Amino acid sequence: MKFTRKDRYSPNHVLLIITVCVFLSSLLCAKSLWIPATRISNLHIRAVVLSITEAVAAVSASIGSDSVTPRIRSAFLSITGLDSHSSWDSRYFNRRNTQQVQKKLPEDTPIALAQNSPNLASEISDSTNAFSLLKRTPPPSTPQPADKNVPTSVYSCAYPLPVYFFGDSQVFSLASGLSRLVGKGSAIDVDFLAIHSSGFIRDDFYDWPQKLEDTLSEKQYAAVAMMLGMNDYQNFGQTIVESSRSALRSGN
Amino acid sequence: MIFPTFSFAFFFLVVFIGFWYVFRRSRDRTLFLIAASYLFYAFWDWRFCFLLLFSTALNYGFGLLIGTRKEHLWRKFYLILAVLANVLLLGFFKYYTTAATHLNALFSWIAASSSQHGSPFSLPIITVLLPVGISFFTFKALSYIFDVYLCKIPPLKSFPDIMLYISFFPQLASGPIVQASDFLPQIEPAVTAGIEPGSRPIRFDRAAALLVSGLIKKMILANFISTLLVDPVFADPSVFNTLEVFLAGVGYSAVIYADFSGYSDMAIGIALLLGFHTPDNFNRPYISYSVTEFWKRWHITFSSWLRDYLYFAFGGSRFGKIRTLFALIATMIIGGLWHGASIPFLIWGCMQGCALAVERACNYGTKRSVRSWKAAVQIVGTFSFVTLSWLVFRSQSLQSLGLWFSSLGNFSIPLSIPLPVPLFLIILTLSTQFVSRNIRKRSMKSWIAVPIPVKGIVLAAFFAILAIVSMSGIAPFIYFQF
Repeated sequence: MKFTRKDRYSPNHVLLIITVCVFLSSLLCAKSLWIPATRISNLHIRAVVLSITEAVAAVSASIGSDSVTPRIRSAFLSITGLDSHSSWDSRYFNRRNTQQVQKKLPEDTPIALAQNSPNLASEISDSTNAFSLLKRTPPPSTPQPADKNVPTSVYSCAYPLPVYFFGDSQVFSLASGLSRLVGKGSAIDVDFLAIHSSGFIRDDFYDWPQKLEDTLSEKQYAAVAMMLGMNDYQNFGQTIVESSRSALRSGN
Repeated sequence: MIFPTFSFAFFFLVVFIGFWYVFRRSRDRTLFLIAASYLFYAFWDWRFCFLLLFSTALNYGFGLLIGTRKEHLWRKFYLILAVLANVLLLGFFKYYTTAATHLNALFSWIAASSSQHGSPFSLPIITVLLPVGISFFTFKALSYIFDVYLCKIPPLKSFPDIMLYISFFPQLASGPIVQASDFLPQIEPAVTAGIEPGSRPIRFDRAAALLVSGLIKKMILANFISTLLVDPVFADPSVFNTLEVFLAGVGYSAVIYADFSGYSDMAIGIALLLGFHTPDNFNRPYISYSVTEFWKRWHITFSSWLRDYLYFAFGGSRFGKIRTLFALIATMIIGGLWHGASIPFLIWGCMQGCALAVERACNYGTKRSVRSWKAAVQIVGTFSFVTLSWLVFRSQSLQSLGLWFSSLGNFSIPLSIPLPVPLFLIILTLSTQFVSRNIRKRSMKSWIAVPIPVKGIVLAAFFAILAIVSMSGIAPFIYFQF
């Protein structure tokens, strides 16, 4: 198609359109703007964007437009039946609970240690302590078969060994490969959940501890295999430092 | 950093303001775009920036060597060296591990069959991370070399210009593979645009339409169909019903189109906002009446690259029918292996090459049938072949392909996936192919006529709708793996 002068715009025009678009969409999506903001890997830029989204959310709440998008979204998800699908389930995705987690943290986590210690660096360097963030729910002490009437040592097509795989995107290939390998009607029943970009530490993106708590309370598995960690390298150390500093600043 | 993210929006806003407002001289703008492109690439892994720079320097040098020589033999010698260097670079990162594994197995087998104890040769297995977009930027670099060799363009004396061509961030990660003779002449007009008062250098309407189209294709069509139907079924087809297995196969055709053409739309739109024109990469490929026509509509920049630099180099249609058929098959096999070193990609390339060769041999596919039912049969036949070839493309192995086919007989297994939503979206995706060029033109005219503030409101409403329906998680682009 041929373009005339009418189809062309100056940078000022484009900035005007972008400004109108950003302003209005921010008012409409104010409650959920922090979600994409938390995915910015640079902590300084993220802090700037988060503070802007806080301000926008406050304005949006004052005029009452902040609840429009979330209400329509929940209606859309319930109509389409997607509200219980793992990729749309907002119970585990994008939970803004960093401060809540800080309050609940057991005493041996790095953040709690940092709160009680003047020497942040040495405490934080012991990164293995960070994994205790996952210890919110103690794992079942002894694996239980799905049906208690079935002998524990014998598994068959009728009473298969229930195995659960969970983790990041790599679990998809791993667990689906195992599922194909054992085939249908085998003595092993493979369930899996793969959440792209999820990790150990970033429960702001996907709350694995809560998800596992809910999943394992619904159905018991003989074995659970996890594959996580690839996505935690991004800002693992920085996240802890940031949380520790904010905790120190707030004096908690 | 991928396009449909807040990080990229923030990054692009900074680049947009810097490009149009802060830097006003052409050299400054070129350097600024290069810096932005390298920063964009560094978000994946900063070490790959050195690889990108090395590839650029290598091709800049070869371009000068080829361009400054007048003797045919020397030009050809440097061309062969340049191609070898690029293929080695690409091959090391993309094919070495697979090739070494297979060769070691071959050496072991030879040693075993000759009753020796252990193979005397063994290649070291090195696990290397595949740099994002290496296949795309290597093909762009080779395009520069070929265009200089074919005298389409003179060799560049300006190193920043070739740096910008190879690293230009909208096209860096997954194309489109814009040829050097298309891109390089645009640099000067693009970096000098908008300086004079009252100038209007940005085709915003088309850019906005492409960005919206790309986001709909990726965030709604591709993500929904993939997550709700295709991924679960392909994980283990044996536990799903015949209907689900069949629909997943058709759905994958819709997904790969929506995913890749969505990415291309966004890339073209982003480049337009910076004043760079990118050729179309997709043109309603599933209404093709032959495989020959399909390759004029699917991944057009890639198929143009293959045609201009490989098919013609193999002789094209100048040396008789047999040579033409060989050129077609060889070109598509290389095109298949470009996606990765695996048997399914090799078979996929063979399928495409053989289909093109058969059509050429039978003189089929040059024009659409005038009778509508015959045209419909042609379109359905081509779509069926393409869908079959995508199944091969998607399969990690021949066993998984066989499993999909054997699972087509699972009539007795009850349906376990709620089908209405994915079925509706598959039909929607495929029906977009039938929206004619006239309707698109008229829609664009209407969009152009909308006043500027209303455009902002419409776009805001679109982003709100996107926030309402989009998945909570992140879904990767299919073509990022290449």
